[in-house]
Amino acid sequence: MSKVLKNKEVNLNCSYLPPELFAAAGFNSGRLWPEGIGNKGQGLLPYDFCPYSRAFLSMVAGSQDLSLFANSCDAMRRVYDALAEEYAYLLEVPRVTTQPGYFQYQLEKLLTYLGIDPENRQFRESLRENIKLYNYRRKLLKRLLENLIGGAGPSFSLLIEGVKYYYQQQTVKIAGLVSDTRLKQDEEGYVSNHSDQRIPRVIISSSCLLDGRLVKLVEESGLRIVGLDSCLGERSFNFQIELKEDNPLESLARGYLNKPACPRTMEPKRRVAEVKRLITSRDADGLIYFMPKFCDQAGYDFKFLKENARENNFPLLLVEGEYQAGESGQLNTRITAFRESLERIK
Amino acid sequence: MDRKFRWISKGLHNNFLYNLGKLGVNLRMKGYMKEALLYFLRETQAAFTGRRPVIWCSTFIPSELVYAVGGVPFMPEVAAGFAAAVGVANEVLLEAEGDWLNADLCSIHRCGTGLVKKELVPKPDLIISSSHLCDGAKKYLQYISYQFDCPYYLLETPYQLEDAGWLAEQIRSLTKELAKGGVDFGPVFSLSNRAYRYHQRVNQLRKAVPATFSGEHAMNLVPMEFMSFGSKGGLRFYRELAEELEGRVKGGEGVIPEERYRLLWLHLKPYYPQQIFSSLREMGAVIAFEEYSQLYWELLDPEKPYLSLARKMINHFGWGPLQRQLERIYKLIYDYQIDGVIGFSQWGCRQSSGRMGMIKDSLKKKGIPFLNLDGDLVDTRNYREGQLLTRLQAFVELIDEQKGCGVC
Repeated sequence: MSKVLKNKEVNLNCSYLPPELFAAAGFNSGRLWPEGIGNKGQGLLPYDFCPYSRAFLSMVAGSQDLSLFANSCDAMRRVYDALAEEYAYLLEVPRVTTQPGYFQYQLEKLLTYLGIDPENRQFRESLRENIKLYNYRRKLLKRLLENLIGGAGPSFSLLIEGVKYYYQQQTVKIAGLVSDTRLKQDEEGYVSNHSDQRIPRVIISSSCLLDGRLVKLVEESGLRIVGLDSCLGERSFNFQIELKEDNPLESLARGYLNKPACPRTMEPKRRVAEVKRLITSRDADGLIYFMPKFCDQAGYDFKFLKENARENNFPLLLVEGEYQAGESGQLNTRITAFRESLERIK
Repeated sequence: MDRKFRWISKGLHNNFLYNLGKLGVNLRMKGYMKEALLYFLRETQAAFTGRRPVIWCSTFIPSELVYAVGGVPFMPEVAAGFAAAVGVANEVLLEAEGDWLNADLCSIHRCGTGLVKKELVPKPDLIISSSHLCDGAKKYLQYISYQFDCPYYLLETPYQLEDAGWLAEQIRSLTKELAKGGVDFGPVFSLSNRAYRYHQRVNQLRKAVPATFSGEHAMNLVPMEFMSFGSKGGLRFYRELAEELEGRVKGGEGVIPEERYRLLWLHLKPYYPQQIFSSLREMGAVIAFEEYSQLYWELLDPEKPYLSLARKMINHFGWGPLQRQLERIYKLIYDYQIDGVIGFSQWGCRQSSGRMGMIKDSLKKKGIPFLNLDGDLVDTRNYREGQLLTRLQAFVELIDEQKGCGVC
């Protein structure tokens, strides 16, 4: 049954929600990245609760925009519960890659809710075009990522900026970041700065990074970031949708289910293999795992990664926190100590 | 493993001890408690001594599925409650935490993982978990399946009843894989439905004033809700319980001498010794009913076994729209003449405690007293007795005030 919406704004909470679908349906979607927890709606959720969920609720409570939730975790379901009487929709996203057909069905249901006929020729044409457009944006971001890994650009924070532009459909700004980093590589000698082999290379992994402050802290501690395994990082864009001309919705469902796995999925072997591949391909010396407080998905994801790291004698640092964790002095000390241990190993 | 746990583990694998236990229960006990204990002794024996394939499940997997494929259900979340009751949970929790399981995670799941490390569990032949209610259950059970190198099946559970077909299809293919020759759900569903009707009768009898059965005791028996449906033992238990409560209601016998306040309890209770319920009794308050004893599902239809089981899962009060849970709570408040509601917020539980604020908000609007009690089901380190009892006292005073001024 379709819903009469007050406006055409859609807030997304998860990297499994395809922005191209909303663009094709004539909606303006955006991923919400709160910078902290506001006051609105706070009495509804406990304090010992996922900070991203609490921050998300504080941003959307009372809004007439549609908030779209992936059935990702208990915490997000609770935010959905809190908003259910307002403008919220919960999309079932399978936790395994073997169910693209069901995901496609759920996307069709969502479209019907939005008042769009999934079979409509014009919509399908628009979806095909938007998939191509988003594939292009993803390619641009991948290029930005490669530039940053290669040492171009002042900070990996640019990648976070790029991801935000991606969700704001700001192609030109992403392209700008790509060319800026290329220029800096050529003119300002960042390559030579970063090519110092003594600087340990690390990957930051997380269920949800919350904000970009940790990235800055890690860099300020003298480590070089070569990967950002988070939805505020590579997991949002480091894939391409293989477009089947006759069925773009199926392409979308398949593509998103097979994108880099996140801790919510129930394929830990695939997830661990993907993180290992990142480590090997980026020649990383260590992994920093950021666990948002009270995040069960991260709690178990970390356990799998920790066991694997232990088996392979690979350095792994666990840091926990809420918003602004990157400004904590204690964390600074721990990351510095981690850098020293990585330097000793190198 | 230290000596104490070695002995417990040996005892759990010892057929003679189970047989001795069953003899003792048969000779010395009667009624529903006898049936409950016999059920647990039989099933635990079957699980630890390998008499039937051991199927580990998260607590919201319908036990009928396990019985239909000829297995014995083992629910480590239930085992965690037992560990707390016999006073070994804290040691077990430390074991799990020492192995990189974060103390923010649900203590029930940490305890389940610790029990594996202490070798206090039967070896699973396979593990099934659902994706509904809590994230932790499916994650830690999948982790355990790697520890035991056994097959793991996930039943992805949709939030809305209208998507039950997807879950039904998953149950169908799982059943096909587990029982190649096909499964006759008829006998198991018949046992389950008969037990259901007795359970309905029990719930009806519990509406009597004064309360003839305490919620505290009912929550001790909650594993029967999780595990026994579809078994003969489950049917016997609910039949005996219904008969006993008939007698108590006829006799007008209440569980506390002077019942002044009737309370509804949401979620579960701490399984280690504590003063919560004795304090409530002293104040004249009785837990007249508890959320976990409601029959949230429909009778199972052997003609549509997969869909029936899927609907049972999705219909759980803690799953699906909040509004549905609220409507059920209001019905319980009305049916059981409830004066106030206590919600127990388990540390690390995002599904139940995550909703307490919203439930509180809704009840407050209707003028129904609500107490959100933070605590832990198994971990005594999160039990703050003094603070808790003070809050209980204040809550009962609030109810008293409301009753006195005629608001309720």
